[in-house]
Amino acid sequence: MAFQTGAAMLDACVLAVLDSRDVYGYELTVYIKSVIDISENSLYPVLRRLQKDGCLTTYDQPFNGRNRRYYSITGDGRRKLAGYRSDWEEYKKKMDLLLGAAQTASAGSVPAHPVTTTNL
Amino acid sequence: MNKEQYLQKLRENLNGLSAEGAAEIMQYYTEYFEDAGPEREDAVIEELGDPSVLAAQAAEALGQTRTDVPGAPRPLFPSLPGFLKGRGTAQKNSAYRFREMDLEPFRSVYVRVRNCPISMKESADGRYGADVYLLLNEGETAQAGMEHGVFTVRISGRAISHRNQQGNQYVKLYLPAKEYDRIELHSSNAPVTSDCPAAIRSKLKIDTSNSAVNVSGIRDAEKIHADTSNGSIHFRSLKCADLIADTSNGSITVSGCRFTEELKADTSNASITAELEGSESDYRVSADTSNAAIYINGEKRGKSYSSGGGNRKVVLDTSNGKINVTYKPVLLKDI
Repeated sequence: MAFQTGAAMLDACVLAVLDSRDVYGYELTVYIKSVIDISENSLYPVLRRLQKDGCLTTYDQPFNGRNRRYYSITGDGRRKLAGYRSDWEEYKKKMDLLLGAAQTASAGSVPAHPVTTTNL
Repeated sequence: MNKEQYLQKLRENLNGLSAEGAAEIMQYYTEYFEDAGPEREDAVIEELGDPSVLAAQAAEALGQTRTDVPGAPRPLFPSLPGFLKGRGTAQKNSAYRFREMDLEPFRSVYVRVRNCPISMKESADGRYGADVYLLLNEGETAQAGMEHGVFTVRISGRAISHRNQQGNQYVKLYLPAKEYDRIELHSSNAPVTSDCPAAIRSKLKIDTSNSAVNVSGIRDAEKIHADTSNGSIHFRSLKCADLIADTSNGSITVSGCRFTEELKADTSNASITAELEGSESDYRVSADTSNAAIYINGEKRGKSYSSGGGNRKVVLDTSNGKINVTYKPVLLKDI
Protein backbone atom coordinates (compact mmCIF):
# COMPACT_ATOMS: atom_id res chain seq x y z
CA MET A 1 0.00 0.00 0.00
CA ALA A 2 1.50 3.29 -1.12
CA PHE A 3 -0.53 5.41 1.31
CA GLN A 4 0.56 5.99 4.88
CA THR A 5 -1.90 5.80 7.72
CA GLY A 6 -1.03 8.89 9.71
CA ALA A 7 -1.64 9.64 13.37
CA ALA A 8 -5.01 11.35 12.88
CA MET A 9 -6.21 8.49 10.70
CA LEU A 10 -5.25 5.92 13.35
CA ASP A 11 -7.01 7.97 16.02
CA ALA A 12 -10.11 8.00 13.85
CA CYS A 13 -9.95 4.24 13.22
CA VAL A 14 -9.58 3.43 16.92
CA LEU A 15 -12.42 5.76 17.90
CA ALA A 16 -14.64 4.27 15.22
CA VAL A 17 -14.08 0.74 16.57
CA LEU A 18 -14.64 1.89 20.15
CA ASP A 19 -17.83 3.64 19.05
CA SER A 20 -19.39 0.26 18.36
CA ARG A 21 -18.08 -1.59 21.43
CA ASP A 22 -15.46 -1.67 24.19
CA VAL A 23 -12.36 -3.64 23.25
CA TYR A 24 -9.07 -4.79 24.78
CA GLY A 25 -5.68 -4.03 23.25
CA TYR A 26 -5.00 -7.23 21.38
CA GLU A 27 -8.53 -7.49 20.04
CA LEU A 28 -8.37 -3.93 18.75
CA THR A 29 -5.03 -4.51 17.04
CA VAL A 30 -6.18 -7.72 15.39
CA TYR A 31 -9.37 -6.07 14.17
CA ILE A 32 -7.69 -3.01 12.68
CA LYS A 33 -4.90 -5.18 11.23
CA SER A 34 -7.50 -7.25 9.45
CA VAL A 35 -8.54 -4.15 7.54
CA ILE A 36 -5.43 -2.03 7.11
CA ASP A 37 -1.74 -2.82 7.29
CA ILE A 38 -0.44 -1.63 10.64
CA SER A 39 2.26 -2.98 12.89
CA GLU A 40 1.40 -4.59 16.22
CA ASN A 41 3.28 -1.86 18.03
CA SER A 42 1.27 0.99 16.49
CA LEU A 43 -1.70 1.17 18.76
CA TYR A 44 -0.36 1.62 22.27
CA PRO A 45 0.75 5.20 21.51
CA VAL A 46 -2.61 5.88 19.86
CA LEU A 47 -4.59 4.54 22.84
CA ARG A 48 -2.41 6.46 25.24
CA ARG A 49 -2.83 9.69 23.28
CA LEU A 50 -6.60 9.31 23.07
CA GLN A 51 -6.77 8.56 26.78
CA LYS A 52 -4.71 11.63 27.59
CA ASP A 53 -7.03 13.75 25.46
CA GLY A 54 -10.05 12.39 27.34
CA CYS A 55 -11.41 10.56 24.29
CA LEU A 56 -11.43 7.20 26.01
CA THR A 57 -11.35 5.61 29.45
CA THR A 58 -10.17 2.22 30.59
CA TYR A 59 -11.43 -0.40 32.97
CA ASP A 60 -10.10 -3.81 33.94
CA GLN A 61 -12.16 -6.96 33.74
CA PRO A 62 -11.10 -10.32 35.12
CA PHE A 63 -10.38 -12.95 32.49
CA ASN A 64 -8.86 -16.40 33.06
CA GLY A 65 -7.44 -15.40 36.42
CA ARG A 66 -5.90 -12.17 35.16
CA ASN A 67 -7.11 -8.76 34.16
CA ARG A 68 -7.91 -7.52 30.73
CA ARG A 69 -7.88 -3.78 30.19
CA TYR A 70 -10.79 -2.58 28.13
CA TYR A 71 -10.95 0.74 26.32
CA SER A 72 -14.20 2.64 26.19
CA ILE A 73 -15.09 5.76 24.21
CA THR A 74 -16.19 8.92 26.05
CA GLY A 75 -18.47 11.78 25.03
CA ASP A 76 -15.43 13.78 24.01
CA GLY A 77 -14.27 10.79 21.98
CA ARG A 78 -17.60 10.63 20.15
CA ARG A 79 -17.46 14.34 19.38
CA LYS A 80 -13.92 13.93 18.09
CA LEU A 81 -15.03 10.97 15.98
CA ALA A 82 -17.87 13.00 14.47
CA GLY A 83 -15.29 15.64 13.50
CA TYR A 84 -13.04 13.01 11.95
CA ARG A 85 -15.97 11.52 10.02
CA SER A 86 -16.94 14.83 8.46
CA ASP A 87 -13.30 15.66 7.70
CA TRP A 88 -12.94 12.28 6.10
CA GLU A 89 -16.01 12.77 3.89
CA GLU A 90 -14.62 16.06 2.71
CA TYR A 91 -11.14 14.64 2.14
CA LYS A 92 -12.53 11.61 0.35
CA LYS A 93 -14.55 13.81 -2.03
CA LYS A 94 -11.49 15.87 -2.85
CA MET A 95 -9.30 12.85 -3.42
CA ASP A 96 -11.98 11.21 -5.57
CA LEU A 97 -12.17 14.35 -7.61
CA LEU A 98 -8.44 14.38 -8.18
CA LEU A 99 -7.74 10.68 -8.54
CA GLY A 100 -11.00 9.79 -10.25
CA ALA A 101 -10.58 12.60 -12.80
CA ALA A 102 -6.97 11.67 -13.55
CA GLN A 103 -8.01 8.06 -14.04
CA THR A 104 -10.64 8.99 -16.63
CA ALA A 105 -8.12 11.23 -18.39
CA SER A 106 -5.55 8.48 -18.61
CA ALA A 107 -8.18 6.03 -19.77
CA GLY A 108 -8.61 8.26 -22.81
CA SER A 109 -12.21 9.30 -22.25
CA VAL A 110 -13.36 12.88 -21.88
CA PRO A 111 -12.84 14.12 -18.33
CA ALA A 112 -15.84 15.35 -16.43
CA HIS A 113 -13.94 18.55 -15.62
CA PRO A 114 -11.25 20.24 -17.65
CA VAL A 115 -8.02 18.69 -16.51
CA THR A 116 -4.59 19.96 -17.45
CA THR A 117 -2.21 17.06 -17.75
CA THR A 118 1.48 17.54 -17.46
CA ASN A 119 4.10 15.07 -18.45
CA LEU A 120 6.23 14.08 -15.50
CA MET B 1 14.12 -14.77 22.49
CA ASN B 2 10.93 -15.90 24.16
CA LYS B 3 8.11 -13.87 25.65
CA GLU B 4 9.67 -13.66 29.11
CA GLN B 5 13.00 -12.52 27.74
CA TYR B 6 11.33 -9.99 25.48
CA LEU B 7 9.28 -8.53 28.34
CA GLN B 8 12.38 -8.50 30.54
CA LYS B 9 14.27 -6.53 27.88
CA LEU B 10 11.35 -4.17 27.54
CA ARG B 11 11.29 -3.67 31.29
CA GLU B 12 15.02 -2.86 31.35
CA ASN B 13 14.53 -0.28 28.65
CA LEU B 14 11.88 1.47 30.69
CA ASN B 15 14.32 2.38 33.46
CA GLY B 16 14.19 6.06 34.10
CA LEU B 17 10.44 6.31 33.60
CA SER B 18 8.04 6.82 36.47
CA ALA B 19 7.01 3.58 38.18
CA GLU B 20 3.37 3.98 37.11
CA GLY B 21 4.39 4.73 33.55
CA ALA B 22 6.60 1.66 33.30
CA ALA B 23 3.94 -0.49 34.97
CA GLU B 24 1.29 0.66 32.54
CA ILE B 25 3.40 -0.11 29.50
CA MET B 26 4.38 -3.50 30.95
CA GLN B 27 0.76 -4.34 31.67
CA TYR B 28 -0.28 -3.48 28.14
CA TYR B 29 2.34 -5.67 26.49
CA THR B 30 2.14 -8.51 29.01
CA GLU B 31 -1.58 -8.66 28.39
CA TYR B 32 -0.96 -8.39 24.68
CA PHE B 33 1.20 -11.51 24.73
CA GLU B 34 -1.36 -13.35 26.88
CA ASP B 35 -4.16 -12.53 24.49
CA ALA B 36 -2.08 -13.42 21.44
CA GLY B 37 -1.47 -16.84 22.97
CA PRO B 38 1.60 -19.09 22.79
CA GLU B 39 1.11 -19.96 19.11
CA ARG B 40 1.52 -16.32 18.07
CA GLU B 41 4.34 -15.60 20.52
CA ASP B 42 7.16 -15.62 17.96
CA ALA B 43 5.18 -13.61 15.45
CA VAL B 44 4.32 -10.97 18.06
CA ILE B 45 7.96 -10.71 19.15
CA GLU B 46 9.04 -10.26 15.58
CA GLU B 47 6.44 -7.67 14.82
CA LEU B 48 6.82 -5.68 18.02
CA GLY B 49 10.47 -5.39 17.07
CA ASP B 50 13.48 -4.22 19.04
CA PRO B 51 12.32 -3.90 22.68
CA SER B 52 14.39 -0.75 23.14
CA VAL B 53 12.63 0.90 20.20
CA LEU B 54 9.26 -0.25 21.52
CA ALA B 55 10.15 1.11 24.97
CA ALA B 56 11.13 4.49 23.58
CA GLN B 57 7.98 4.65 21.49
CA ALA B 58 5.75 3.73 24.43
CA ALA B 59 7.58 6.11 26.76
CA GLU B 60 7.16 8.87 24.21
CA ALA B 61 3.42 8.18 24.18
CA LEU B 62 3.42 8.65 27.94
CA GLY B 63 5.12 11.98 27.41
CA GLN B 64 8.18 10.81 29.30
CA THR B 65 10.89 11.10 26.74
CA ARG B 66 11.66 12.84 23.53
CA THR B 67 10.21 12.47 20.08
CA ASP B 68 12.56 10.07 18.33
CA VAL B 69 10.02 7.48 17.37
CA PRO B 70 9.85 5.81 13.99
CA GLY B 71 8.44 8.33 11.59
CA ALA B 72 9.77 11.26 13.60
CA PRO B 73 12.79 13.20 12.30
CA ARG B 74 15.80 11.13 11.40
CA PRO B 75 17.65 9.37 14.22
CA LEU B 76 20.88 11.03 15.22
CA PHE B 77 22.90 7.97 16.04
CA PRO B 78 21.67 5.18 13.84
CA SER B 79 24.65 3.00 14.62
CA LEU B 80 23.71 2.67 18.24
CA PRO B 81 20.29 1.35 19.25
CA GLY B 82 20.52 2.96 22.67
CA PHE B 83 21.03 6.37 21.23
CA LEU B 84 18.63 5.91 18.37
CA LYS B 85 15.93 6.99 20.74
CA GLY B 86 18.20 9.52 22.34
CA ARG B 87 18.21 7.32 25.36
CA GLY B 88 20.16 4.22 26.30
CA THR B 89 19.91 2.31 29.49
CA ALA B 90 23.12 0.65 30.47
CA GLN B 91 23.63 -2.88 31.44
CA LYS B 92 26.21 -3.30 34.14
CA ASN B 93 29.50 -1.71 33.12
CA SER B 94 28.50 -1.40 29.53
CA ALA B 95 30.13 0.97 27.11
CA TYR B 96 28.27 3.23 24.75
CA ARG B 97 30.01 4.70 21.81
CA PHE B 98 28.91 6.81 18.94
CA ARG B 99 30.75 8.86 16.45
CA GLU B 100 28.60 11.05 14.36
CA MET B 101 29.49 13.95 12.15
CA ASP B 102 27.12 16.27 10.44
CA LEU B 103 24.63 16.45 13.25
CA GLU B 104 21.96 18.99 12.53
CA PRO B 105 23.18 22.48 13.41
CA PHE B 106 22.60 23.46 16.99
CA ARG B 107 22.99 26.68 18.93
CA SER B 108 23.52 25.33 22.42
CA VAL B 109 25.44 22.47 23.97
CA TYR B 110 24.84 20.77 27.30
CA VAL B 111 27.14 18.01 28.52
CA ARG B 112 26.84 16.47 31.97
CA VAL B 113 28.94 13.37 32.56
CA ARG B 114 30.97 11.85 35.36
CA ASN B 115 34.66 10.95 35.58
CA CYS B 116 35.00 11.68 31.91
CA PRO B 117 37.24 14.14 30.08
CA ILE B 118 35.46 16.54 27.76
CA SER B 119 37.07 18.32 24.86
CA MET B 120 35.65 20.81 22.45
CA LYS B 121 37.55 21.54 19.24
CA GLU B 122 36.99 23.32 16.00
CA SER B 123 35.73 20.91 13.38
CA ALA B 124 38.08 20.71 10.45
CA ASP B 125 35.41 20.65 7.78
CA GLY B 126 32.68 22.89 9.18
CA ARG B 127 30.44 19.96 10.13
CA TYR B 128 29.03 19.32 13.56
CA GLY B 129 30.47 16.23 15.16
CA ALA B 130 30.45 14.27 18.38
CA ASP B 131 32.54 11.33 19.43
CA VAL B 132 31.42 9.89 22.72
CA TYR B 133 32.56 6.85 24.62
CA LEU B 134 30.92 6.27 27.97
CA LEU B 135 31.20 3.46 30.47
CA LEU B 136 28.10 3.21 32.52
CA ASN B 137 27.41 1.71 35.88
CA GLU B 138 24.28 -0.22 36.55
CA GLY B 139 21.44 2.17 37.19
CA GLU B 140 22.89 4.90 35.03
CA THR B 141 21.32 6.05 31.82
CA ALA B 142 23.11 7.82 29.01
CA GLN B 143 21.33 10.17 26.70
CA ALA B 144 22.67 11.92 23.67
CA GLY B 145 20.94 13.87 21.00
CA MET B 146 18.99 16.98 20.36
CA GLU B 147 16.78 18.09 23.22
CA HIS B 148 14.73 21.19 22.57
CA GLY B 149 17.32 22.38 20.10
CA VAL B 150 20.18 21.80 22.53
CA PHE B 151 22.79 19.19 21.67
CA THR B 152 22.86 17.17 24.87
CA VAL B 153 25.08 14.40 26.18
CA ARG B 154 24.38 13.27 29.69
CA ILE B 155 24.48 10.51 32.18
CA SER B 156 21.67 10.44 34.64
CA GLY B 157 20.22 8.10 37.17
CA ARG B 158 21.50 6.92 40.47
CA ALA B 159 24.52 4.73 40.13
CA ILE B 160 24.04 1.64 42.25
CA SER B 161 27.75 0.97 42.24
CA HIS B 162 29.81 3.88 43.46
CA ARG B 163 32.95 2.68 41.79
CA ASN B 164 34.65 5.44 39.88
CA GLN B 165 34.92 4.45 36.32
CA GLN B 166 37.34 6.71 34.60
CA GLY B 167 38.57 4.17 32.07
CA ASN B 168 39.03 5.52 28.59
CA GLN B 169 35.82 7.46 28.56
CA TYR B 170 35.58 10.66 26.61
CA VAL B 171 33.26 13.19 25.11
CA LYS B 172 34.74 14.99 22.11
CA LEU B 173 32.80 17.71 20.40
CA TYR B 174 33.76 19.19 17.05
CA LEU B 175 32.06 22.47 16.34
CA PRO B 176 32.28 24.84 13.43
CA ALA B 177 33.57 28.25 14.53
CA LYS B 178 30.09 29.75 14.49
CA GLU B 179 27.98 31.59 16.99
CA TYR B 180 26.29 29.64 19.78
CA ASP B 181 23.84 30.67 22.43
CA ARG B 182 25.18 28.79 25.39
CA ILE B 183 27.64 26.00 26.05
CA GLU B 184 27.84 24.05 29.32
CA LEU B 185 30.36 21.30 29.95
CA HIS B 186 30.06 19.51 33.29
CA SER B 187 32.19 16.59 34.42
CA SER B 188 34.12 15.42 37.46
CA ASN B 189 37.55 13.97 38.18
CA ALA B 190 38.66 14.59 34.62
CA PRO B 191 40.01 17.50 32.58
CA VAL B 192 37.89 19.73 30.38
CA THR B 193 39.41 21.45 27.37
CA SER B 194 37.79 23.97 25.12
CA ASP B 195 39.77 25.03 22.11
CA CYS B 196 37.35 26.30 19.53
CA PRO B 197 37.17 29.78 18.03
CA ALA B 198 33.41 29.90 18.55
CA ALA B 199 31.39 32.91 19.59
CA ILE B 200 28.95 32.39 22.44
CA ARG B 201 26.12 34.83 22.96
CA SER B 202 25.66 34.17 26.64
CA LYS B 203 27.83 31.86 28.62
CA LEU B 204 30.51 29.21 28.41
CA LYS B 205 30.25 27.32 31.68
CA ILE B 206 32.73 24.60 32.53
CA ASP B 207 32.94 22.66 35.72
CA THR B 208 34.79 19.60 36.86
CA SER B 209 36.85 18.52 39.86
CA ASN B 210 40.32 17.22 40.68
CA SER B 211 41.48 18.14 37.22
CA ALA B 212 42.54 20.96 34.95
CA VAL B 213 40.43 23.25 32.80
CA ASN B 214 41.91 24.75 29.64
CA VAL B 215 39.99 27.29 27.63
CA SER B 216 41.35 29.03 24.57
CA GLY B 217 40.30 30.76 21.39
CA ILE B 218 36.73 31.81 22.20
CA ARG B 219 36.13 34.73 19.82
CA ASP B 220 33.42 36.40 21.81
CA ALA B 221 31.28 35.61 24.83
CA GLU B 222 29.25 37.33 27.48
CA LYS B 223 30.76 35.23 30.21
CA ILE B 224 33.32 32.46 30.51
CA HIS B 225 33.21 30.65 33.82
CA ALA B 226 35.48 27.75 34.79
CA ASP B 227 35.12 25.93 38.08
CA THR B 228 37.24 23.04 39.33
CA SER B 229 39.15 21.92 42.39
CA ASN B 230 42.63 20.48 42.90
CA GLY B 231 43.47 21.41 39.35
CA SER B 232 44.72 24.33 37.35
CA ILE B 233 42.77 26.70 35.14
CA HIS B 234 44.35 28.11 32.02
CA PHE B 235 42.66 30.85 29.99
CA ARG B 236 44.36 31.79 26.75
CA SER B 237 43.29 34.03 23.86
CA LEU B 238 39.74 34.71 24.91
CA LYS B 239 37.44 37.62 24.26
CA CYS B 240 34.51 38.20 26.54
CA ALA B 241 32.85 40.54 29.00
CA ASP B 242 33.38 38.51 32.17
CA LEU B 243 36.06 35.94 32.81
CA ILE B 244 35.82 33.86 35.97
CA ALA B 245 38.15 31.14 37.28
CA ASP B 246 37.45 29.26 40.50
CA THR B 247 39.62 26.45 41.82
CA SER B 248 41.61 25.34 44.81
CA ASN B 249 45.08 23.80 45.09
CA GLY B 250 45.68 24.63 41.47
CA SER B 251 47.19 27.56 39.63
CA ILE B 252 45.33 30.01 37.45
CA THR B 253 46.92 31.42 34.30
CA VAL B 254 45.38 34.10 32.13
CA SER B 255 47.13 35.22 28.96
CA GLY B 256 46.19 37.01 25.78
CA CYS B 257 42.64 37.56 27.00
CA ARG B 258 40.49 40.59 26.32
CA PHE B 259 37.67 41.17 28.74
CA THR B 260 35.58 44.31 28.87
CA GLU B 261 34.09 43.97 32.36
CA GLU B 262 35.79 41.79 34.91
CA LEU B 263 38.38 39.11 35.50
CA LYS B 264 37.89 37.18 38.69
CA ALA B 265 40.34 34.46 39.75
CA ASP B 266 40.08 32.57 43.01
CA THR B 267 42.28 29.72 44.23
CA SER B 268 44.23 28.59 47.24
CA ASN B 269 47.67 27.05 47.79
CA ALA B 270 48.67 27.95 44.27
CA SER B 271 49.71 30.89 42.15
CA ILE B 272 47.78 33.23 39.91
CA THR B 273 49.44 34.62 36.79
CA ALA B 274 47.60 37.28 34.83
CA GLU B 275 48.90 38.93 31.73
CA LEU B 276 46.78 42.01 31.13
CA GLU B 277 46.68 43.82 27.83
CA GLY B 278 47.25 47.54 28.05
CA SER B 279 48.57 49.48 30.99
CA GLU B 280 47.87 49.84 34.67
CA SER B 281 45.47 52.72 34.02
CA ASP B 282 43.10 50.47 32.04
CA TYR B 283 42.33 48.32 35.07
CA ARG B 284 41.10 48.40 38.62
CA VAL B 285 43.08 45.60 40.19
CA SER B 286 42.50 44.16 43.60
CA ALA B 287 44.86 41.27 44.47
CA ASP B 288 45.20 39.43 47.76
CA THR B 289 47.28 36.54 48.96
CA SER B 290 48.47 35.30 52.29
CA ASN B 291 51.91 33.88 53.05
CA ALA B 292 53.21 34.82 49.61
CA ALA B 293 53.93 37.89 47.55
CA ILE B 294 52.36 39.85 44.74
CA TYR B 295 54.48 40.90 41.76
CA ILE B 296 53.40 43.66 39.40
CA ASN B 297 55.48 43.72 36.22
CA GLY B 298 58.06 41.73 38.11
CA GLU B 299 58.17 44.11 41.01
CA LYS B 300 57.37 42.75 44.45
CA ARG B 301 54.41 44.52 46.11
CA GLY B 302 53.60 42.70 49.35
CA LYS B 303 50.48 40.65 50.12
CA SER B 304 47.78 43.01 49.00
CA TYR B 305 47.64 45.27 46.01
CA SER B 306 45.06 47.54 44.48
CA SER B 307 45.33 49.99 41.67
CA GLY B 308 43.87 52.56 39.41
CA GLY B 309 40.55 53.77 38.19
CA GLY B 310 40.41 51.85 34.94
CA ASN B 311 37.18 50.46 33.56
CA ARG B 312 38.05 46.81 33.71
CA LYS B 313 37.93 45.16 37.08
CA VAL B 314 40.42 42.49 38.12
CA VAL B 315 39.99 40.55 41.35
CA LEU B 316 42.67 37.99 42.19
CA ASP B 317 42.54 35.96 45.39
CA THR B 318 44.70 33.14 46.66
CA SER B 319 46.43 31.95 49.76
CA ASN B 320 49.89 30.42 50.07
CA GLY B 321 50.57 31.27 46.46
CA LYS B 322 52.11 34.18 44.65
CA ILE B 323 50.29 36.49 42.30
CA ASN B 324 51.96 37.73 39.12
CA VAL B 325 50.43 40.57 37.16
CA THR B 326 52.09 41.85 34.02
CA TYR B 327 50.78 44.58 31.76
CA LYS B 328 51.42 44.08 28.11
CA PRO B 329 51.12 46.82 25.50
CA VAL B 330 48.15 46.14 23.25
CA LEU B 331 49.12 44.54 20.00
CA LEU B 332 47.23 45.70 16.98
CA LYS B 333 46.49 42.22 15.78
CA ASP B 334 43.18 40.85 16.84
CA ILE B 335 43.08 37.93 19.19
